Amino acid sequence: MKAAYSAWPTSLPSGKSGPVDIPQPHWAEAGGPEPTPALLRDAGNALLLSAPAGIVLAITAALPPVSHWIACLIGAAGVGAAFLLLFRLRRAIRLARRRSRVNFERAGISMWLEDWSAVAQALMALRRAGVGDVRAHYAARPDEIRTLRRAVLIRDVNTFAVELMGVSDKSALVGSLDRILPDTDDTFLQWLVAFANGDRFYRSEAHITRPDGSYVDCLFTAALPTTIAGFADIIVTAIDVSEYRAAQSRFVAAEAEAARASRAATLGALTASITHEINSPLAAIVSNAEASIRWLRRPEPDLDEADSAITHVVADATRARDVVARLRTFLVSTPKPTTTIDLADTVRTALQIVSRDMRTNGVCVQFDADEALPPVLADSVQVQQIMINLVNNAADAMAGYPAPRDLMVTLAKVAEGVELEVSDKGAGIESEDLVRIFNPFFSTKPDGMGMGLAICRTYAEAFGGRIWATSFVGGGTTMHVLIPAMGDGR
Amino acid sequence: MSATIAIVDDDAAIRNALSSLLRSMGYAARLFPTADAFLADESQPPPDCVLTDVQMPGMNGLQLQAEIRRRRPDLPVIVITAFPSEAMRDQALAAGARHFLNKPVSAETVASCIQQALARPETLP
Repeated sequence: MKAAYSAWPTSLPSGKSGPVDIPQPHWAEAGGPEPTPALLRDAGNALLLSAPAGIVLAITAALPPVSHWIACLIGAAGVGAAFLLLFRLRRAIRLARRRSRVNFERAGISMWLEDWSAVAQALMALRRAGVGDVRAHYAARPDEIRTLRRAVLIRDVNTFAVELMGVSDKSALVGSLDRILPDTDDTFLQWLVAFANGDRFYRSEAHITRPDGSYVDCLFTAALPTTIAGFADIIVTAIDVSEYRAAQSRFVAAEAEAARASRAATLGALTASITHEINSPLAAIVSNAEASIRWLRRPEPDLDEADSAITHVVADATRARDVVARLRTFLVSTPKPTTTIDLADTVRTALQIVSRDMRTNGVCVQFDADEALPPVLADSVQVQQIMINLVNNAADAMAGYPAPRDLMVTLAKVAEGVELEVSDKGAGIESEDLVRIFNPFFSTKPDGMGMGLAICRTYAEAFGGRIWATSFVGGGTTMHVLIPAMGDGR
Repeated sequence: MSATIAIVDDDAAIRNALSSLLRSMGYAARLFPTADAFLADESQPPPDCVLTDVQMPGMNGLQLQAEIRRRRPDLPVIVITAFPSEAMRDQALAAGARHFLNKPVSAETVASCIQQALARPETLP
């Protein structure tokens, strides 16, 4: 998941829908063309000069000859002045265009002139249809996003953009935005939301595809249009942040590897400890049991010794049972969290951690969260671990399936708190497996350890919540995690 | 006269279980909760074989093995542990342990190992 946001949130309220009183962005109200440049106003001045001259000519036509000639001279002077102004005006416009062109071409930053008119029309249509929550609408309709993305046109790019994209000519880039913004991009929706909100500026990080198929991570910025006509020529700037992102990914990977090594070491130590704790009473049981058999099978059975050995067997078995009970208390009981967390933020962070893997697997992640989610008592690291587990499982479920591989993550207010949903369009889970997927050591993956969902369940229950799955064979799976709102009494 | 086996283990349940097992086999068993207790023991006759745990408070089983080797190179030592590892096994066998056993261990294995240890003369330099 890319960090994508628009810098100036505006007045569009949140909410799933609102057929009545949906505030509209100012560009939707303006309706007309972009504001006239100052130079064009000079054209009006020229007309103002020539028009009186014509009037003077007309009035003086009826006057005596001398006055007639004087009037003609005055009128001619007016027309001449008007033509002179118009000439200067056209030259100034040509010059301004040339300068603008030079600035565009020579800018030391990648610039893209793009036509988003289709988006403006689509957003207006949504508004007319009474759709108030553009994010939720499109997040649930990835195919509509794809259609809109195809309809956005790159009209022109500058030299720096040609260099950035590794092409020899700008014609290789002109055309549909769909050609450079891959299906795994998740920032297009942010653009739509920013437009719908009437934001003035937009900024986000996204990865784009070069014609040779390689990816480049870019920071995109744009001043958003103030009129509908302005959607036809939006200038977007892009800065290559691939190295920064790669360094960031290496850092995240190193952190994850350190955490994995730490977990492995902990698990190793824990396993050794459990082995010792269990094997000791087992060893005593085996020895005592075999000793009792030997005492009993003697030519003269020694019943006292046999009795003593069997009594010890019972005591050692009880000790083994206590060890297991202690281990369960120690390992399974997760302390109840005592602080509130921002769930949307936590989920975004988790998606950021897996973003590169998702991109590699060609998975398109859409995330949507209700506004003003209630505060929840949970451990952010545990929520992230749940998320990473569920998202990785969902990606695995779609591996080998043809694109698009859509993965939907939502956070929704429900009566009991907040419900997290992770949905994939994979093969689904057979009903006999569905009841076992949260059991420890159960896995449908050939190399799976079968602990991921068991850990998720432990964490969810530690929040006082629960986790479950709904699945349709051939239609995909949705994992649900309910996290109770603070003060829900759990 | 039956051989005397010294059992060194900090776990009383293991000590008693092994003692019962060895006695049922006809051996005499002498029990020690720590390596130091074994080394301090001067009872006669001296043990013919030592069955020692590895992880114990104070001196561990491998250290005990080294000390026994220094004092009585002819005394066979069998190491038995509930916390086995390849490194520990290699270390014990390289230091002259006759056998390295993992808990739980069967009566047959214990009997066989003790018989071999008692029958085989000390072969290490």
